[in-house]
Amino acid sequence: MSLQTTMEQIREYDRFSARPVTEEQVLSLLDEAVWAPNHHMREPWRFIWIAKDYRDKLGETLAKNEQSQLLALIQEAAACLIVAAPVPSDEREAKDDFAAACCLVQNLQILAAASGIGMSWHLPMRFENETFCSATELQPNERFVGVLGFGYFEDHWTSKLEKRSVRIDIW
Amino acid sequence: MNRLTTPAHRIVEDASSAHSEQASFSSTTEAVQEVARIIRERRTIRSFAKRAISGKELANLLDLAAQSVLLEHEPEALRFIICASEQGKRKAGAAIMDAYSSQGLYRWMPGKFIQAMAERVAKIPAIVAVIRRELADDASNDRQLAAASAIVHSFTLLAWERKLGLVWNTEPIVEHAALTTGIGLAADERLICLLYIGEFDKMPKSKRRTAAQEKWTVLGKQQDKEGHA
Ligand SMILES: Cc1cc2nc3c(=O)[nH]c(=O)nc-3n(C[C@H](O)[C@H](O)[C@H](O)COP(=O)(O)O)c2cc1C
Repeated sequence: MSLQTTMEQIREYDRFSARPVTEEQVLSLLDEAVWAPNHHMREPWRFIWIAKDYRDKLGETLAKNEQSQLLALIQEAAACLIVAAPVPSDEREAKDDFAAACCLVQNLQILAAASGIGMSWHLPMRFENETFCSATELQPNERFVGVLGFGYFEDHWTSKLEKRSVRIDIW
Repeated sequence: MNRLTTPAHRIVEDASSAHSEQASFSSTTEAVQEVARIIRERRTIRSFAKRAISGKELANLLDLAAQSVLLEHEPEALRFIICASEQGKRKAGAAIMDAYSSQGLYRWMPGKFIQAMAERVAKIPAIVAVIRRELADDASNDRQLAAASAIVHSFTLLAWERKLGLVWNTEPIVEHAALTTGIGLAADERLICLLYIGEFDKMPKSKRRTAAQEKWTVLGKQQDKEGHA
């Protein structure tokens, strides 16, 4: 099966399957995902696994906000992982590092799809909720790259499949 | 061996044998292995074979890549210019060289350096400009950058599967007016990066990556890794 076929399977889900996705599984997918391109090999990423018994505590920091999708992810996803990136003082380095960590997240998306696992990707900003940041132990010189929820695909669930059109000019 | 380093394909094997009713999704050991192989073997390519490549083919791959990113963003505020024809590449190349040689940015660069670089740029089989429109707030702009990066990476992997290599260029020239106006960006548009793309004859060596375990933190009760749940 080709990469293209796998990519065509990536889609959004309204709900997560209750079937577990384990820490070991996510770590093994991550060990492939770390082959993302990254400038000067800074490997600008760090992973925070949110164990089941920490979900409520983390969810509480969101309750007062209107981030209902993020809250649903944290409460319901079979697995929850946060990817954080360092923020170097040099502006170009900071952008490169953020972009590289996004490449890693996309690797994870593709690897998960090939394993029959869906992944939703949320990107909260530090200033949007400081309580959430401290509950995740995000460091002052770090930023979120993604709060990721994993769950197995279930056949009977409807997926939101709207084609995104980006403008592409050919010169 | 640490159980946490179980290869991805082993885990999928376990999963699919336990839930064979999931057959309509092609999640197979081979699928993960194939995808993992492409992800591992992909290398940044900086010197290209002289063969021309099709702009239309690149556009198809970009379009597919754009569908593969689930982070919420505004697709209509992203756009791409693919320069693959001689004329298109000349236009992009001239704008790139204008930025390199303009005062203030690389003033120290001797003329023969500029000349050598111009020749290098002229030989690149295709150049893609990745562009975002500035949105109202920082959060949206960061999400646009994140989504664009993920699209570029999906595109990179699809291209790699077709034996096309690329390099990102995020040097300071991408913010230089000589380049951005030279390729027709509007005042509220930003150039995220340039991609230089082509076939290649030599495969660069891979650089070792740090295991994910070494960058891993657990919040909450550590799960029993020995599996005696
Ligand atoms: C966001 C980003 C920006 C990059 N910018 C440049 C660049 O300006 N020039 C360059 O030669 N390579 C650039 N690279 C490529 C990296 O240097 C390359 O990924 C790294 O050396 C690891 O090599 P690999 O991609 O072959 O694994 C960039 C990569 C990323 C992800």
